[in-house]
Amino acid sequence: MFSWLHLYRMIPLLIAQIVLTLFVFFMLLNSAAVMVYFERKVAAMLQQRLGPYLVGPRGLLQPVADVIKLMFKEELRPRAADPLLFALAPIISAAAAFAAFAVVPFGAETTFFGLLSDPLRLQVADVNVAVLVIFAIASMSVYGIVLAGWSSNSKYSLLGSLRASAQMISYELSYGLALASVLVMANSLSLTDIVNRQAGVWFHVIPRWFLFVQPLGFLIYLTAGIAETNRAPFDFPEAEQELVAGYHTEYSSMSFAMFFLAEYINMVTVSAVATDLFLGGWHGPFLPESLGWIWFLLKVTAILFFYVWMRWTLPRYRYDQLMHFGWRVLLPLAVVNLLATAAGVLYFDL
Amino acid sequence: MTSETALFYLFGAMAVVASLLVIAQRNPIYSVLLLITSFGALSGLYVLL
Repeated sequence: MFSWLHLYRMIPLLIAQIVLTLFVFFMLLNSAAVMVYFERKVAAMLQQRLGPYLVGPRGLLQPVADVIKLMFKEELRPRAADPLLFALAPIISAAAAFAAFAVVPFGAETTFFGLLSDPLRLQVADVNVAVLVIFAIASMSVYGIVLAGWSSNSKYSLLGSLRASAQMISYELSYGLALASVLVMANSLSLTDIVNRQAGVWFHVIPRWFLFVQPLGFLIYLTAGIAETNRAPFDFPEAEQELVAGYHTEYSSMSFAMFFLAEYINMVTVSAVATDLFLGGWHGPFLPESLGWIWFLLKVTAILFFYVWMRWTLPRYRYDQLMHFGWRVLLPLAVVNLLATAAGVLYFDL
Repeated sequence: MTSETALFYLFGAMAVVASLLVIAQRNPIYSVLLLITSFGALSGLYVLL
């Protein structure tokens, strides 16, 4: 029951929770900045050039310069635009991007070397239907894009946002089915449970990651994830050659920065969820459980590198190829994968 | 009044007002957005069940 004494004992945990929430928020902001630098450097590497190198040592301060530039630019709005929705769209995009990460666990329970009496989960909110929440919020972000395209009242924006919504809706199915096959394996919707199911090793060598029992599911998840976050080779919503800049053509300054931020944070979230679902989260050899977040960071970085690598390696598909691939290749594969997984769990007790 | 009752009235009022505003709009896009707001309030009610 509720009592003041009880509340008093909760205070350290409450403060820790608030600090954790702020920590995740600022780390996500930071990760977007780091990703911009990382992406430009990797792109430069792949194209045999230098990339940013003038601002700060090795160009490390380039993201800071970019942010300052974006903040001091003029905020423009087309006269024909719908003022309310034009302002609301980037907020929805960014808010949805941040909200999704709230249910992603990124480390084992820790007391911070005995600082807290009760162990604290390294996760903003431990929801028992975490996967469902992520899926719901991921589909929320399409609202931001559609509203941005419609409210700008410009052809390019509208076409970009229509493409974005068609693409996100088509790929969300395969994305969800790839998730579902992991849920069947783990028999739980909680990401913490799913990660803990992947602790330990098979035959003393192979980690018990779902990647090794669900290789197809992992591939489908990654492909659909790239399409969900509108990244190359599926970046139709902002195809520069045909649509100027797609749904954010009319945006400038901070509202453009919000879309930019949302895109990078979505990438980080998709990678973090992939790590939790398929790569064993914070479980890994050589490190104690309390330092598991290092493994988590390494795995997320690896997937993000893959993202960037794909972007600078593959050319953009044609729009009909994208739809063909989504509906006639990826979706049947995902269905077959889910059915096979379900049969395996039912008959062979995987 | 418990917090649950307060939340019930809050979500209930939100759902009713948003639904009424859906038919008061000239612009269909605004109607759709208000409909989504109304659904959001309804989902809040479901959580309270």
